[in-house]
Amino acid sequence: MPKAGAAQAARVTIRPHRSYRTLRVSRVSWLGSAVTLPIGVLLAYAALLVLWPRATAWMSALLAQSTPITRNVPDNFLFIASTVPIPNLPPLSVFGALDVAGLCAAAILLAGFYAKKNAPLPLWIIGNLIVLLITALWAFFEGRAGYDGPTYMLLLERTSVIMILCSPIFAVVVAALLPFTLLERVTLFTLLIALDFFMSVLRLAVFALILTHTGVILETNLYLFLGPLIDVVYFIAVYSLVVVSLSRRLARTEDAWEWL
Amino acid sequence: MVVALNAWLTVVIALMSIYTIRHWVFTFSRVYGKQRMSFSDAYEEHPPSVTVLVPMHNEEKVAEACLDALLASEYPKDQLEIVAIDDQSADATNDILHAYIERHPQVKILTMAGPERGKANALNVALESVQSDFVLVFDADYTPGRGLIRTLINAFVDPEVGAVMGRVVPRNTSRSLLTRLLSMERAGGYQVDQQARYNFNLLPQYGGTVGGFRRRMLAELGGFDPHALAEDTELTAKIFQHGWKIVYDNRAECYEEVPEAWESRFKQLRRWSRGHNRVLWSHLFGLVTAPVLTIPQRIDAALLMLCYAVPPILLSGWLAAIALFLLGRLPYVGGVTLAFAVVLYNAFGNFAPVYQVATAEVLDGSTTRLLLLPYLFYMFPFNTWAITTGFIDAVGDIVKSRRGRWDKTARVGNAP
Repeated sequence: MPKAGAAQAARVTIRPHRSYRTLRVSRVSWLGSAVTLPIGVLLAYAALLVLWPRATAWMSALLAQSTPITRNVPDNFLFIASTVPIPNLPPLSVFGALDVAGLCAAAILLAGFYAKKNAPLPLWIIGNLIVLLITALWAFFEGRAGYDGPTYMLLLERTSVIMILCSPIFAVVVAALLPFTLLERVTLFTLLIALDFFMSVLRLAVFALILTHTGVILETNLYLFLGPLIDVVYFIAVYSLVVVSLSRRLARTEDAWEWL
Repeated sequence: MVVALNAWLTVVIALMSIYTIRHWVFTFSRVYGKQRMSFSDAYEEHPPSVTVLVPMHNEEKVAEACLDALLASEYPKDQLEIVAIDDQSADATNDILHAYIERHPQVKILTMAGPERGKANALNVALESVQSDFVLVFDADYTPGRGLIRTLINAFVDPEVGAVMGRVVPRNTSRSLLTRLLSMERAGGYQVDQQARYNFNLLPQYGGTVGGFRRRMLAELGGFDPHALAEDTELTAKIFQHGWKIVYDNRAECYEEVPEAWESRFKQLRRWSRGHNRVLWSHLFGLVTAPVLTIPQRIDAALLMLCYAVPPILLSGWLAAIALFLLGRLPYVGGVTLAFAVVLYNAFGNFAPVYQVATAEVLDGSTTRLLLLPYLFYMFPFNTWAITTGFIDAVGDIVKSRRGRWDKTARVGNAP
């Protein structure tokens, strides 16, 4: 004879279908969103004011030691001081550009062949090769392409500053869609700003190093392809980590849901 | 030159921003807003007669599973007619169907003979002999659940409803990275996007694979365009222009086989883009000027019709940015905004930005799968290029007044 407790434990819980559920409106969560927006932007700005000058100065000094052909110049953008490494770009060889264009065309054909079987990765490569091909042809016909070293690095540095300042805004807008806890919001913001900060400094150094050896021919790829890609990937990676945490919590919390 | 490039870049960024805001509002509505529901249990006592059409072309791997699922339906057998349309299959589909009807005489076969081929044409021919008031259409790789027909048919209790659409759920999700990513895209597109458009009384789309329509309405609208490659989008446009409604029923789930190979997915996307952009050309003006539609519905119509034109527009924005960069005239803010526009729009999959997919998966109860979200970005050049090639095909079709060719999506036919 089954015990009463066992019968109770075996009670069937009828759950409505997943299409019938929404999330309970959490005023606390929305208030959290509203509050974290100005706080996030202010924190990002404060971090830039305090840490950006030191980080860029340290990175530039390190780069100047290891790469003698790099020099450093100060910049001040939105009252944020920085030291920007300026690579001495090798002079543009017009016929070298033609060689690059030819190599790119051949590589595009090769990658196009493989793109049929395993499309996304070859397409990423082809996309970059096309940009490189355009840049090389432009350099061949115009004798120049893109920016000189100082202007390019300043563009890159200022773009990074704007990205760091904007990332909290996008984090808040995206986070407003789901009932994150304060801890999850703080985690999202902290990881995002810290990674953004670290990756931006690293990007300045790596791009300067690359351009020291390759010259202007790679500027377009680095600025319009690889740069945004780095930002996108870690933004979504951090977001997905926090969303997994949220989803696991919601799965355990009955009263988080409303059923239609 | 520089002014023109900057102006175009601004237009592209503005368009991306509009789509971003639209998807954000849709997501917010699905999560926290009032959800609009279709009728349920309306035909409990006297269910109407229904004809289910299953167009097939080279479906030997999936044909039986689909018909088995339809026969297992709990819908009254005397009110249900199932017609499998063999549209000139070159594989064993026809033999399989004939063997099948020997075992299950309640299933009918319609064998199409040339010269025309294509889903829209096959449906038109099949509809000539249909007597039921309501017609449901499933693709052959779909396996409808036992209660699906009844769930869908309830929508027609409202006499203004011309068509109904259910939710598509991949059943081979665990097969590969591609199928997992497509499953996430589908979740965002249906659980959030379609439901939100229905919530706001905008334009939920009749999808043509798990849905149905009122036979009388289709006759009034002149049937399907036999040369349409996206007969579902074309019907959606005609339905709304003529004042009928489409119901989206999120509960009406049907399970499909998504492509497991990138090549197959590329062809599918390219065909969708080609068909959709041909409909854009022929119906955009009619939709945005339709007197029966409200202003928000017209705006939604324009954004819906343009969705397969956006990737080539985005590509043109990239080219403008590259040109400005090479000229040394890319504005600081312009470059950053472009990057953000790309990030925010579909960088992460074409029809569902990352936050929309994430929200749909949270609503569906997914957890660890959400770690795949960054991989949606991996699809970006793939989707953009597949859709752009379809767009170019459509432009060629329009300029040369040529008919499109129906490229079949390859089936695998494995159970999950």
